[in-house]
This record gives sequence, structure tokens and C-alpha cells, in this order.
Amino acid sequence: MRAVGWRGRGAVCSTAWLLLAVAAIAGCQEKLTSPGECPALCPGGEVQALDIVLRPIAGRDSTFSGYVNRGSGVALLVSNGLAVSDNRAAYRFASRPDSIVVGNDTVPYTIDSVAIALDLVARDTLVDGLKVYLYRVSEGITDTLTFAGLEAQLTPAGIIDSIEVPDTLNSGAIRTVLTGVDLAKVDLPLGGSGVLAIGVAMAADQPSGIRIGSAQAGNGATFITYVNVDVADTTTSVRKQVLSRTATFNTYLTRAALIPDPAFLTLGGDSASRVLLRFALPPEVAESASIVRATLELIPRGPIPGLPTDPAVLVGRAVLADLGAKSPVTIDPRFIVDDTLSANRADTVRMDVTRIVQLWQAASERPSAIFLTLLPEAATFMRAEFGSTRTDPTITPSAPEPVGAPRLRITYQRPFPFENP
Amino acid sequence: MRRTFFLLLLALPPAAAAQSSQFGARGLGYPGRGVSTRSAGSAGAFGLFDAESSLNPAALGSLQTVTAGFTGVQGFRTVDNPIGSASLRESRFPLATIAGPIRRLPLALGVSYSLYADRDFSLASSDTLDLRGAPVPVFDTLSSRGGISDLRVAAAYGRGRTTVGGSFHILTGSNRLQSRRTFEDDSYLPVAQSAELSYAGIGGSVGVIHRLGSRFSVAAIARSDGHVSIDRDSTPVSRTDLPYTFGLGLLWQASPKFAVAGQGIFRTWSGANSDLLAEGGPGSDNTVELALGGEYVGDPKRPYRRPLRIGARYATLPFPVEAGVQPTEFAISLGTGTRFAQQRGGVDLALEHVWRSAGEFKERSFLVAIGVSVRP
Repeated sequence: MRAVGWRGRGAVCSTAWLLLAVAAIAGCQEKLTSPGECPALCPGGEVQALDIVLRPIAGRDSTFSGYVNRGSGVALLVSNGLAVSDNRAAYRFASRPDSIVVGNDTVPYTIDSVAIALDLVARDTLVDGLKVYLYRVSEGITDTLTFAGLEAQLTPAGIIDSIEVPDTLNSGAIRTVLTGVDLAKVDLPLGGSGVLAIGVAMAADQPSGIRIGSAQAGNGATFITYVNVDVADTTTSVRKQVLSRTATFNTYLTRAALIPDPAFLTLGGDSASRVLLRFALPPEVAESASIVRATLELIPRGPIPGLPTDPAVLVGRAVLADLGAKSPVTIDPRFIVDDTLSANRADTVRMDVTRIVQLWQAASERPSAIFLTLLPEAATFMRAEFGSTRTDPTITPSAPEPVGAPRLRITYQRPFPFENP
Repeated sequence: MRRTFFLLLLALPPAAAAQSSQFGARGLGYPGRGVSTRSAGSAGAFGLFDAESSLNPAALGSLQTVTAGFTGVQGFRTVDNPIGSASLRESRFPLATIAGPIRRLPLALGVSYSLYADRDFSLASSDTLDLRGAPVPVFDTLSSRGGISDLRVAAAYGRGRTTVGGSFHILTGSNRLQSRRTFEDDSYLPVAQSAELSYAGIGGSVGVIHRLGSRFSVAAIARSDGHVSIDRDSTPVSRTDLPYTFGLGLLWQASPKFAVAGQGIFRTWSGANSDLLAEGGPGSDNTVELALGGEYVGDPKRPYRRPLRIGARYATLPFPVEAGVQPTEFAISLGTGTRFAQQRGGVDLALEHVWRSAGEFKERSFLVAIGVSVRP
């Protein structure tokens, strides 16, 4: 009995030893990082970080225009003598029928009132006294309409109404309602096309501009007719109906549309211009460097014209293939960068394009190029002009108006010189 | 059940270092010692006589039965250098052996897997760079995992008072290096670069143990490892000569309860000097390791029942971190152990306190070694 007890104690001790051994080895978390004294403790040496500044390949930085037509953008421009551009807008609504079908009968109606609604997308919030004028214009307006042609129709005789926009309203719906004798201003004769077209102008305490909704964006102007139907049915919804018509065509026109200066790089404006920049990475960077930061720097020709307090978005995209103006660009969000661009900005515009430049390294089939766009295209007052290789005095000494070319500032690291023992 | 446990032990990854050190950051790393926990308890002084260590193939001749051994080490280290100090800890499994006698023959065979050189380290540093005309603080980490392992196949032949042995060594392993840099200004992206070194080499060693009377034994070894070929990311990049090793040990059984041993091992690491310098490394120097230790057993009839082991060791390290200053280390150790399950299982413990230094670079380390042995 006693011997058995001793054996049991021995087994317990042995197990305890074993458990202690396993616990001691397995129970500790590693912590291996110690202070590194270089170069003594650094096998191979130290990491070298370098900066380089690249300019686009001379003559290969280009402006291309006409990607989005006026009126095909997400907003229409209206202004009253704004320095960057003087604009008027026009909408043509879908045809309104002369009669309404009630049951199996087609019955005429009488108009109670008419509302015309616009969506105010943006305004200069620092300018008060905004008033939007609606004019009746020819129902036959098309893409061929000119500023002068529209302006000629915006006469006091053709005015439908003016909408005073509260100074506190920065965006949202604005509307006017016509009743009584004012209905004659939007009268659509029986047997006619039933189409109403309106022109839009504005006034304010000082030259300014607004952006209003477009059919493309789904927030274009609406022409609403409230009618009474003369039927025996006593149901209100049958006797009082609403005919709502949206714009089937809209556009805006610029008094003096500017053609982009080929010496400069132009973005935005009603020409919906884009810029393609092509670079040549040095072999050391292209083949073996680790790019830690790449910044595209654009030098404005002067203060960037636009509508104050209504910024645009500068977007840079990696190019999938260099086909000039029709170069396809990436839709991968990792290789799309953007930055807000405010009006009247005159300092250098900087964009972080690190991922895009890393893509040039990683995929040699991708051209070393960036496509720049100013959003919303054909729907912003902003028109940015930047220096190019044709205006950079270090590249083109004879440039009549010297402005520096775009710069691509790359910070990179050389490969770590791992030591071979 | 026992076999399962034994196989489980062998399945554990032993290919790491006995200990990491800032003195393993240069050259081929921190050299392994190939001693079992039992031997480490006496500072390695009995290493040339110990069958569970991988130093002397002739020591296998002392095995009475098939024995599998496994060693784990937990290290607690304080590092000082001109940049600062840090307290570190690491777990390693530096040695696994299996060996046993051949029936009816005075022959023993064994296989072991041990550390040859360890390159486990992480070094953190900070700096300020002038980027784009502005100072940018950066934080760098250079880390390495892996090293060179030593797979040994050994045989011992004993006749009379003398046992001779020979072994064949395969040196293999890999070393994953990574350099990471982060910037305080997060508009700079962090960078991680990596490389993998792989090593291949072969070597051979011979050893002898001779008993002089009933109380003295002497052991000697000689080993050549030729060279190690190094590939970086599968591309051959260099070839480094490895040292010859010569060792001599003496064991004195002072009484049935007390034994004293000492040994010295000399390695010609200077042979690798020119190869390392050619690769931009720090070069290398010959090393010497001297150990003296004793073992006291309370009951000579049961020598494995909680013996007391003690020892001290001095060694020079091959790869300098400062030009002209060879690192040295000094260690004192204490150990014990026990056997159970009719001597079929055993656990040994060793505690070692190590001081290493080279100029302004210093290191103190407590190493807790645990050895498990199984005799199925």
C-alpha cells in the first residue's frame, strides 16, 4: 500500500515536470525587436530615399475637347455677366395633350393653373438678390440654337415670370405658379404641337451664376398643368388632374465660348476639355524603385476662373492604352484620384498620384500617362488653364507667356541592399 | 501512446535558434552550439561526452537504448547598444536527436537536427530624411527569420576503452529578410522589401572518446564543413567558406557522486573572412569556446534523479559588429533533471545567464532550457 503511494507520488511529480517544461516553452510570447544601430547592425546598409521631378514628354501633353455637349451634362449654366462666361439656358418640354381619357371617353379639360419648377443645383452663396427669369421661347429650339438666337427671344414680351430665390436657399426646387390671365403666357393652342419651350436667365445683386438641373441628371425643369375635367364623375381625382411634363431637350449657351488655347492645358469649361499627360519614367525608377509618393503639380496660367463657392472636382485617371483623345481610362477606383478645385485659385495644384505611378511600374503594358478631367463636365463654370511643355521656359525658351509645365514629383526608395553572407 | 508522443516531438519544428542575439545580425548569424539541455546545465562542459548533444559522434557509443531527445529554450534578453535598450524574449527549439545502439554490434547510429547559425532578429531604428526639401521622420525595421540548420547522420563504434565516431552533415535552411519603412507623414506610403536566402552545404566530422583508467576520459573532435552556397531568391549569389572545428574535452569522475569536465572548441571562422568582406559584410574571426562544469548526483545508483549541474563558459563570437572588436560571451549555468516511467522518460532543465559584449554593444540573457527525452 505504501509502495503504491510512492509510485503515485512519483507519477505526479513526473507529470508536473513535464507540464512545467511544456508550459515554460509554449507560454511565452516572442518579442524580438531591438534597437538597430546602423550601419553596425544593419546587414547590407541603409535604405536610400530619393526625389526626382519629371516633366511631361515635350509636346506630348495635350488638351482634347468636346467629350460632353452642352446640355448633356448634369447641370445647365445660367449667368448674368459672370467674367468666366455669360450663359442662358433653355428647356423644351414634352408635348401636352389637348384632352384626357376618362373611362372610354376622350374629354377636354380646362386649365386651373400651371407651375414651372426648376432645380437649383448651385449658386454663389455670397451673392444675394438672385432672381431667375423664365421666358417663353420658340418650341423649335434644337442643338443648332445659338446664344444670339436665344437671347433675341428673351424679351420682356416673352417673359413668363420671375422667381425670387431666397438668399438662404443654396440649392433645391424653385417654382412659379401661373393662374388667371397669366395662363396666357404659357397657352398652348388647341390643335397645336402642345410643346412648351422656355428660356432661363437670371439677375442678382452682382454678376453671378447658377447651375440648374438637367434632363440628363433627372432633375431638369418640370412643366405641370393642373386641370379640371368636365365629367359627371364626382371623384375629385378624376375631375381634378395634373399633367406633368418633363424636359425632352435642354441646353445652355455661352455668349463667347472660348476655344482652348493649344499652348496651354485646358480643363473643363463648356468645351468639356480634358488633358492627357505623358511621362517617361527613368529606368531606375521604372525597374526597381519602391515609389513611396508621387505628386502631380499643375501650375495655373492665372487665377482659375469659375463660380465662387461652387468648386469643381479635378480627377486623374490611369490610362489603359494611349490612343490620344480616345484613350480608354481605368474604372478601377484604386487608380482614380481626385481633388477639389476652387475658383480663383492661383497657386500650384497638387494631386497625389502615387497609386497611378505605381501602376506604371507594375504593369509595363500600361502607358505612363494620366488623363485629367474636370467634373462635372460641361456643367461647371470652371475652366482651368495650366502651363504646358509649350509654355515652360526651360523646355520652350521662346514661349510668349511663360508658365511652368506640369511636374511629377516622385519620392522613391532604391532596393534595400540585403547583405549576402 | 509513447510512440505517438515520440512522433509528436519529432514533428515539432526544431529548425530555429538556440538563442537570438544582436551579434547574430551580421555574417552568417549567431553560431549554434549543438548541446542538449543536460549538457547546457553544466555550460556545455560535458558536450563532447554527451550522446544527446550533437558535437561528438563518438558520444553515441555511450547509449544503452534508443533515445530521442528534444530541446526547447526560452530566452529573456536585455540588449544595449548606442541607440538604446530593449528587453526581448524568444522561444526556440534548437535541437532534436534520435539515436541508439545496434543490437549485437558495438555500433550506434543517430540522427540529429540542430542549429548551425541563427539569423533571427528584428532591428528597429528611426531617422529623419530630407524629402522634398522638408525633414520627414522615418521608422525602419529590418527583420530576419531563419538560419542554417545542421542535419547530422552519425555513427559510433566502440571497442574497449575507445569509441570512435564519424558523422555526415547536411547544412540547409533559409533566411527570410524583410526591410520595412514607415513615414511619420502618412502621405508617404510605407515600403516593405523582402528577400529570401537559402543555404546549402555539406560537412563531415570525426570524434573519439577514450577512457583513461576508471576516472578519466578524454574526447576529441575534428570537423570540416567545406563551404555553404547561398542563393538569394533562387539565384546563386555567393559561396562562403565554413570553418574547421577542433575540440578537446576532459572528464574526471572525481567521486561516484561528482564529476568534473572541461572542453575547448576552436573554429577557424577566419576562413570565411575574405568571402564575407567580398560581399560587403563585416568579415569574421576565429573563435574559441572554453567550458568548465561539474555534475553532482545525490544517489550514484540513480544518477538521473535530480542531479545538480553547474558550469561556466567563455567564448568568442565570429562576426564583429564593430570593426576590430570581436564579440565575446561569458555564461554561467545551473541545471538538473529527472527520469520517470522506469527511466523511459526524462526531463532536464538548465538555466543559463549569458553576458555578451563588443565595445558599446552589450547583451544580457537568461536562457531557460528544457529537454525532454524518450526511451521507447
